[in-house]
This record gives sequence, structure tokens and C-alpha cells, in this order.
Amino acid sequence: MNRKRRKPQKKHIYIIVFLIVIVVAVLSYMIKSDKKLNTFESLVKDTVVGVQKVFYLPIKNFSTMIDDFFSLRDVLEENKILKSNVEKIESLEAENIELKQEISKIKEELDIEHVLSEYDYLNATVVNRNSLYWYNNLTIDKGSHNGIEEGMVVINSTGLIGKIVNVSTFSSDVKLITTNDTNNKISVTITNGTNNLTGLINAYSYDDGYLKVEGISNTKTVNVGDLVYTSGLGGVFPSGILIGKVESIVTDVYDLSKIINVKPSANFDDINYVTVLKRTDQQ
Amino acid sequence: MIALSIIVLLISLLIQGIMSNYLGYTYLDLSIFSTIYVLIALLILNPYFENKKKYFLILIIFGLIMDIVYTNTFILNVCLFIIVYYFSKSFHFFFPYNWITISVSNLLSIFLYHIISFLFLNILKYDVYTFSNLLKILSHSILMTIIYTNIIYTIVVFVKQKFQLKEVK
Repeated sequence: MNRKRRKPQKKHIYIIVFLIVIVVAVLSYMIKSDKKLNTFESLVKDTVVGVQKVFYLPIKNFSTMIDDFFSLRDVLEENKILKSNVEKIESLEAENIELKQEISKIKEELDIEHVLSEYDYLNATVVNRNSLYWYNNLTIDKGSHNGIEEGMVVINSTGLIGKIVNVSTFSSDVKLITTNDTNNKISVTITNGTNNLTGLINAYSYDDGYLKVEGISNTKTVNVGDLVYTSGLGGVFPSGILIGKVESIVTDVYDLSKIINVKPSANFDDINYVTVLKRTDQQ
Repeated sequence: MIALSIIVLLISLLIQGIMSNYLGYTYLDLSIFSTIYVLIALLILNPYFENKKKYFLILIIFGLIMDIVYTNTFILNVCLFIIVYYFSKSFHFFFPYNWITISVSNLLSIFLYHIISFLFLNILKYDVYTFSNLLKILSHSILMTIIYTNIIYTIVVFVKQKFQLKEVK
């Protein structure tokens, strides 16, 4: 290597200061709003995601093979649990049909077109996850070509994951519910089977991994272990999607309302496949 | 040399996605595989560019791709990459290029990238993530930064010598 050593010049310091000002400006804009992709950016993103999908295939197969191998030791125990669950499925199916019929009768009687819990499904694979900690974004391999639209809800088998924030033709970005974004508040229902309370997910703590639910009066009773679902209020998330379980309860500094620590049911460190939900009233 | 550089950077770009999604999060919830692979490759390729205009052009293009594909931002990564480039350049003003100094400078560069982002995010918005989270990110990026730096450095030096490639002019 034929290298010329030059002493760092004063103009480099000016360039760095200028760049720092740009970084501050860009970050302050990015924090306030989600940037939308233009046509060129969509094209670049779709191209990279398309190539990535090809490279992922052997890695994904290998990863699945390893997972399958390690899960073999639990197969016997899982099989017993599944057998007992299968017996319950028939009665649940019958109950489900009956409930659906009741809902459609009520809809007819009350002249309602859609209820908050109705949605369509679309499965997708996660193709990359943001390497930077705070953006909390995933990219999935389905886009507007597949009927994905901004604001759609994303879940996996264990619960709510996030919502679609950016859509290009063949890929989309998902903003996770663990983001500390003021535009990302979610209305939730805390239920212990008999009583329902409505609150708002206000923040996520990276230190303990809890979602913070606020807006519940100190006079109301919430128990550790109560389940937390989406309430359907606010027009984005359908109702009845599991978010997590109440882990601990503290009161705010004024002793007026509760801050409820909710452990998310989804494992945000291991998301490979997701399902996008489309509320039928969005059609 | 320019073809080798672009191939190395494209592979780094793909590895960025693969590592962040699969290996980084799938096994034992460890993210020790996460680092900024594209930035590492860019810093290693720096001394092979005599023509710094071409180097800056490549740095800007890959910074923009990082912005579009991985962070959904605009020119943020371009600016951070340039700042880190100047840091790396200043570091190598005092230390020669070899696998040890490149490992150290790349590690410090990755730290600098994360620290700048952390500082500005916390200045602009309170409680985005805590200092302990920053330490976790830094500590988790050590292993892969050193490994990837050495892999790419070895490949670049080997291919350059084998095919007697000339520096980019």
C-alpha cells in the first residue's frame, strides 16, 4: 500500500461540525415523524430485500433444521399437551360458530357493518431487522402488491408485534410496539375475566422489558397476572389481540393513577414469521 | 480494485441484514453478531483508494442504501459514515495500517458511531434508551467487529496480492 500521510486539516473539523449539525437536524425530524419512502427509495429497498430473500433461503433452512433438532427432546411432553388440547378443539369450534352467528344477528339488529374484532389475515416473513437499537423496525417480504397498507396491525403466534409504517411494492416496514414513540400509543383493555379496564400503553422500558400502561385510576383494581388485550379504540388496532400479562403495579408520583408493568407475550428478540391483520372496516 | 471493493461492500450489505435478523436474535437471545458490517468494510477499503473522490462517492452511495434499507432515515448514515471516516483517518495518522491497528480503529469507529447516535438521540428526545443499553450495544458489537474486520482485511489483502490489483486512481 502506497500511503501518503497527511496531517488532519482544519477544514476537516469544519466538515465534521457541519455534518453534526445535519445529523441533529435529521434526527430531530425523524423523531417527530415517520419518513415515507419515495419511488426511488422503494425501488432500492425492494431490490435489496429481493436479493436478501435469495441469500436467506439456505440460512433460514439451516436455522429451522437446528431449531427442529433442539425441539426434538420436548416432543413427547408437547405431544401429551397437544392431545389434550385436540379434545377441546371440537367444543371450541362449536362455541366459535355459535358466537359468530350471535355477532352477525346482533350486527343485523343494530345495523352495524363491522365490529372492532373482525379482520383478514396475511402471513409474511421477516427479511431483516434494524441493527440500530432504537428504531425498532422490522422489514417483511410483503408490500402493496400483496395488499398491505400503512397502519395495518402485525401479530405473531404469541401476540401483538406492531403496525405497518412504510409500504413499498414488495416489502413493508413494521414498527414494533416496544418503540418509545409518542405517535405509537395503543389503547388496551386489562381483563381478569369479570372486569375490563381501559388504559394506554405509554412507553417501553428497555431495562426491565415491560410495557408501561397508564391512564387507570388508582381506585380501580388490577391484579398481577391479568391479561392485556388491544381495546380496538383509536381506529388502528382491532380489539382482542393479546399483548401480555400484568407483571407488577405501581402508582404515579401524584398517587392518582396506576402505572402497570406489562410483560409482552411476544418475544421481540425472535421474530421470523408474522401475520398482518386488516380490519374489515378499513375496506 | 474498484470491482473488489463493490463486491465486498455488497456482501457486507447482505450480511448486515442476515446477521441482524437471524443469527443475531435467534439463538439464546444474544445479539453478539450485530455490528455495522458496511461501515467496517468501508473503513478497511479506505487505504486502497488513492482517488478519495471515488471513495467518498462509494461511501455516500452505501450510506444512502443503509439509510433506505436498514434505518428508514435520510442521509443520517451518510453523515455518520463521513464523521467516522475522519476519525479513522486521524487514528491512522498516528498508527500504521496493519491487522491490529485496523481492528482497534474499526472497533473505536463502531463505538463512535453508536455513541454519537446515543448522544444526539438523548439530547433531542429524553429516555430513548439508557446508558446501560448503550453499554450493552457496545459490548455486544466487540466480538463481531473484530472478527469481521480480520476476515475482510485478510480477503482484501489476499485478493489484491493474488491478482496484483492496483489502488483506485
